[in-house]
Formats: sequence, structure tokens, C-alpha cells
Amino acid sequence: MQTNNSQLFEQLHRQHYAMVHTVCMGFMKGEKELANDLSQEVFINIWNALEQFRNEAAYKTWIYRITVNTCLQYLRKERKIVKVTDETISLLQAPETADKNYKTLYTAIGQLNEIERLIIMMVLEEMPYNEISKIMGITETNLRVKIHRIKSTLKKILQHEE
Amino acid sequence: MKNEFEFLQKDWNSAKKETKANPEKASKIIGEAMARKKASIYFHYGNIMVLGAIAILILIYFLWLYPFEALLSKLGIGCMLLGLLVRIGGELISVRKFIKINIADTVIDNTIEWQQFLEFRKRMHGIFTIATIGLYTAGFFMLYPEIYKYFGSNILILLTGFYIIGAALLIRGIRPNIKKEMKDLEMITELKKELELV
Repeated sequence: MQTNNSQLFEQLHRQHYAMVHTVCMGFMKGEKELANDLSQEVFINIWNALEQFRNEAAYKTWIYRITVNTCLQYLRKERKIVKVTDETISLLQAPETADKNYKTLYTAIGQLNEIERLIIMMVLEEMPYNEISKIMGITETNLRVKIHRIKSTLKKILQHEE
Repeated sequence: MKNEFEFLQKDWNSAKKETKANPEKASKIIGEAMARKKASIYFHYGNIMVLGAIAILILIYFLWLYPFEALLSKLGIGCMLLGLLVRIGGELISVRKFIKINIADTVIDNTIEWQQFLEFRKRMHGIFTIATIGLYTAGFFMLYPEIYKYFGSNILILLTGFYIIGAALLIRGIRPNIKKEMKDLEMITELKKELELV
């Protein structure tokens, strides 16, 4: 059983690492070190939840749910860390340490609140709206309203950037 | 907007393409996950084990090693044990609620599960703590007449001093965690509001 799970986990890690890590990068506003930690946290949770997987959803949707929930959990831990060391404060506040290649992307989505950031990343991932609403557990109407609002905010942010 | 969004989308896809999984990391994560699970079990059942050990010590010490004779003292031991049992019961419910939190649930369901768990923790820090401290302290004071009868007032003063210092240290030790949990509850409630907001 353990061997089967290990093989399955390694396969999921290989197939979905890029997706998870990109979400974590976006959530952490491009801070690579923090995103690496968060990605590891996501895969630890995936391993712990693997036995409960019931084939009710595709692996991608299931992993996305775990990723989003882990990001929101990490938020609480992150606030705790911020109080602990000055070094972490500078890490969280210093945009220059963020991945410079995608500065516009991370700066733009980094200005949204956490829920908005997670939703827009699923839109960028080109997930169908009904799937996003299933991950979030909100109605599609509510989701569409939120996406419309997020896109307007992003537009203002990007125009301001220019 | 279409162009601006397309630009972000392009960046997103390139960032994803550049990220490669390290196969060696998968087995390290499994090891880390297993170690954390073990630590989490010890952490959650640790409180219960400590409280259970105190209850057993009280039973052994006051009922068999130095048995009290007066009815009031026996009632006192009963109260102290009841206080500890209330706390153990609360901690067991708390662990059950924590285990029920499913990281693979929808975001709103996961948030509700966290909220329910933290609201129960709030009750634990309120009514459960008051009941535990109240019963334990009342029981402890019920032992005083018999202790005074056999050991005199000096021992009573010493015991009271130890009790107050012990209680103060305990409160100081658990306060940061209570504060953190209450802050978490505030955050979770805010998050839920944000999710439900149309």
C-alpha cells in the first residue's frame, strides 16, 4: 500500500509540481524561497491526504483544492513568522528579491487580496469557471462577479504600472 | 483589458514552463510528511497524556499513599479529579474536531471546519477553563481542614504559595497560544466573509 502510494505521489509530484509552484510563487508575490517552502507544504498535505482520495474529482482539481487551502493556512503562519524575525520582515516586504523575470505578473497579482489572488491564478491557469467554483465552494454567479471585479482592479493596476 | 490580461497569461504560462520538478525531492517530502504526522499526534495527545498522568497521580497519592479520612477531603479529591476530567473531555473533543478538518475539501468548507474548530477552542479557553480551574481549586481548598489538622498552618501556607506560583506559570505559558488561536479565529471569520461576499 505504502509503495503504491509512494509511486502515485512521485507521479503526482512530477506532473503537478510546476502548477503548484507557480501558484505558490504568485501567492508569495514572486518570493522564490517562500514559494519553495509553501510548495513543499502543499506536497506534504497531498501525501497526508492521499489515502482519502476517492476519485470524485480529477487529480488536478483535488491538488488545486489542497494548494489553495494550504496557501490560506500558510497566511496565518506567515503572520506569525513576520512577528518573529526582522529578516523575514524584509523578505516579505522587499519586492526586489522577487523573481525579476515576471515582475509585472507578480506585482500586479500581488496587489490583490489573498482570495482574489488565488481566484485570478486559477483563471490564468485557464480552468473552467464551474471547476473554479467547485474548488472554492461558491456559486458560479458569485465567482463571475468576483472575477469581473478582480479583472477591473488588475486593469487599473496595470495601467498605473505603465 | 483583453490585451493586458493576455500579457499576464503569457507570463503565467512561461513561468510554469520554466519550473521543473526535482524527482529526488518527492521521497524527501514523504519522509518529512511522516515525521510531521508523528509529531502532530504527540502534540495533540500530549495535553491529554499530561492531564491523565496528573489525575492518576492524584488517585495514587491521595487515595492509596496518604488517604484522607474526612468526607470533605474525599469530596475535594473528587472535585479535583472531575476538574481534570472536564478538561480531558474537552481536549478529546478538540482533537476530534481538528482531525475532521479536511485539507482537500472546498475552500469554503475547509474555512468552516477551521472556524468550528477555533470556535470550540475559544469555548475551551472560556467555559472549560473556568470549570476546570474552579473545580480543581475548590477541591484543593476542601483538603485544607484535614491538612491543617495533621501538618499545621506552615504547610498550608507553603502549599498555597506553590499553588499560586504554579497557576501563574501555567497561565503565562498558555497565554500566547490562546492569543494566537483567537487571532486565527478572527482571520478565518474575515476570510469566510470575503468568500461569501458577492
